Amino acid sequence: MQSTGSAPNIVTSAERIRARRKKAIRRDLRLNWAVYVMAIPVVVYFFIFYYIPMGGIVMAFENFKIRKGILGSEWIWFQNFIDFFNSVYFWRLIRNTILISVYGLIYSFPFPIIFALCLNEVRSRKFKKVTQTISYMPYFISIVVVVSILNDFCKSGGILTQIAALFGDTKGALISRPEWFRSLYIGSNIWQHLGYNSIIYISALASVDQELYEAAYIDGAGRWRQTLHVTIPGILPTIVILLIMRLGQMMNVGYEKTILMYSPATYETADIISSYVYRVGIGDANYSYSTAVDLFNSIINFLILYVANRVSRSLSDISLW
Amino acid sequence: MKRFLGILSLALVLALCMGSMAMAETNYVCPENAQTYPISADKITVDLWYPMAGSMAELSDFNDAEFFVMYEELTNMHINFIVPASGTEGDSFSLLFASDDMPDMAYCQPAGQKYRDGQDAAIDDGYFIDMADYLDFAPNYKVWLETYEAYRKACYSDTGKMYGMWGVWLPIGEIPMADQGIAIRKDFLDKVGKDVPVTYDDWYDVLCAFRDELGIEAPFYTSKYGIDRTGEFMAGYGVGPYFYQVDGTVKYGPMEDAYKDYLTMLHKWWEEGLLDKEFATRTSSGITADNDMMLNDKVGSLIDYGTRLADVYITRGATNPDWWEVGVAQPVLKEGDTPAYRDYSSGNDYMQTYCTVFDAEGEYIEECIRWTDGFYSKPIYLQANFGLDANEGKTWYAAEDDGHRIQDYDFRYKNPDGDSSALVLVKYWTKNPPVRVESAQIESSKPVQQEGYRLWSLYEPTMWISNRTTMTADENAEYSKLYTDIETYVQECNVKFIMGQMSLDDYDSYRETLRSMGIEKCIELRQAALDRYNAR
Repeated sequence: MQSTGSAPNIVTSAERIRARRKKAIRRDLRLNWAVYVMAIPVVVYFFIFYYIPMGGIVMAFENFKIRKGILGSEWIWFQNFIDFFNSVYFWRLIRNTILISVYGLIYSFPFPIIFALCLNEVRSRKFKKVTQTISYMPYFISIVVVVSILNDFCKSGGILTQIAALFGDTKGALISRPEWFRSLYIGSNIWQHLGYNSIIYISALASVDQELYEAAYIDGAGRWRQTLHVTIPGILPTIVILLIMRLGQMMNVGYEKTILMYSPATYETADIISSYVYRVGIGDANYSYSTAVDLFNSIINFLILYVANRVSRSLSDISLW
Repeated sequence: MKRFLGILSLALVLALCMGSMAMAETNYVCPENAQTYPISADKITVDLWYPMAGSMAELSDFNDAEFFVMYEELTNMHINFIVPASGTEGDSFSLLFASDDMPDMAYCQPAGQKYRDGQDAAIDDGYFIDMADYLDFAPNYKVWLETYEAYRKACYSDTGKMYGMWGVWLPIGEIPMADQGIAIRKDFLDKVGKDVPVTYDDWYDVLCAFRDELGIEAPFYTSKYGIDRTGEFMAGYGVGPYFYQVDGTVKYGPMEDAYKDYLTMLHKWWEEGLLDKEFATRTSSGITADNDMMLNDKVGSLIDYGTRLADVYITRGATNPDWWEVGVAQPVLKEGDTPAYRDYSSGNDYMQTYCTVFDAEGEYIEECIRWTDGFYSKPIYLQANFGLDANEGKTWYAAEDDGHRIQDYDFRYKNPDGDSSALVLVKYWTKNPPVRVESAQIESSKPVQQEGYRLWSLYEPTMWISNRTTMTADENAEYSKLYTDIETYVQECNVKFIMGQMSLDDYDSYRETLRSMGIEKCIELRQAALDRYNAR
């Protein structure tokens, strides 16, 4: 203020604080302008692709007509939600979505961790690198290709069907039987994502302090004990954060793989919320209803994330916010 | 017995000859082209949504096709073809409304490619023009409306609107023929020493023989929904696959006992290995079978197109030199029955499934209508169906008696340049032009194919409901809200009943579920639409 040279003699304290804050911001901008410039694209990106489309949620409460637009369509409040709750598919969709993601979590979450721990114990650098590279490969195969391989293996006479037959399951093609759908879905997911998902754990392992191992060694701990008391606690924060983030995606099972894999014969266990939204929204052009279903899905998702975060914070001080 | 067989085969040969001789001459409507060319003094480019991706495998741009090169020169209009990916036509069409990118015209199949609120609504909401107001630009099209009363009736909606310019199926003689139906491998039948099956019991015998004596993997091939889309095979049970009518009363197949009986039979066949084991995961939802299955003698019978009867699959790569496929009439419960359901879509009411609709906000509405109208005049539709005039003796030849055109079968199926039959179709003439001359397809085909067409059209389709019944926007909104879920559910349950994942003992509770989903309301709405149609 002094620099302007014409400041009034009596300045109220509130004004002074405001002035000081203004000055601090200006100073901060002058010092860190480069950082702010770098942040602009990210902010713009999120604003354009994540915040503006959120306006479309309004459709869920309307009888949306393309010609009338979002502002002109008839307002029907919760009718779309009521229709969904009363639909014959409601419980089946909820059940399938939850089961496929709970099973997915139980079976596929531990694998990358175990894989990373195993790799960590391998002495030969060369063997380690080769194994790691091979395990990434499936990640880069298009999901369409993965599903066609799966289809081929699981048709009647396919190799997996024949293996199942060896173990006494002779009811034919696995791919057209609802009781096999989840196993195939999750199993192929594990195969495809194992290597890629383990990268983050491998890097977390690299940052564990080597002196801790030495100390444990001097205290007489073998390799197993070292893993249990040094390695795992070392990467635990990473595991928990990834687990919370995974929980936030709980109800978000992608529709791509499902619509490639399912058929009327397996709808019973395969049809999930997102594939239903796809069918109703794109296939039948019923935009407001599918928005309502998707919004409902997102709310459940958010609730799960919130609860998981609360639980984690109270138990271990690790949390997203 | 031997003599009897001799007489029978003689009778068959006679019937075949009769079949081909009995073809009445095509009544060519609209002999003069009332349009004047060029349509536009300056060259203009218009967008045409053209869902023919199936033909794009070998011809990457329809502008390279002989017919369209000629037509562009004539009209001075360049067409920018917009071709949606195969299998996504329906989705792609509904997205046209959501995007701001409506093409000047769309050559669509309204049965599967639709505006959610119905055809009237698409006009009311300002997407497409009401063709009824623009008929003055379409003098050739008007001739058709005046010629066939059934066609005129089908072209208008209940409120007197016209969705677009509807395609015509120009029949041979008075009654149009079916171009698809049930087909069976005659060489297999000969091997197991059986006649062409007539009743469902005969079918059972034949399919068992295929399975036991020849080891056929799929004695009967069905679509992924378990039942064939057009209901050919269930016709003998006196029901249709979805909605059908009995003397003006609308019924829904799955609600009827006969439908349950049909599923019971299919379930039995499934258990005994007479159906395709993989049917539920096949990608085909309609006619024709998985190529690998067909070419390698794994299919005994199926629903197929008439153009593929006889030994056509050999040109597609089948290795068995004895390959011979023939058409079969719909099976019956007992001999002498007359199945009445047939939904072969093209042909009923002289109307085919395609319709050209025009963007209401397009810059060149008049030009586009006049461009399309040309296809409805004889000088143009003959070339669209048979190849250019200059191609006489190459793609077509003139009949000796009256000079009408006949497609050259060998040029199409044993092409001198080695082009596949699918490529010849789009390279020299056009696929499914607005006016389809039935004789182009039938007259040039082999006697056994002609016999197939005749057998498939044997029974009058009295139970079929016209595709052209229309609903009001409100009715349509209510109907599609209810029926979309119902149809998915029915398709799913059909598969489950056939595969035994749902017990047929629970059929009553299944019907109860359909009632709770609102099937009765849907039937009521369809009934109202049909009543209005009949009163038009």
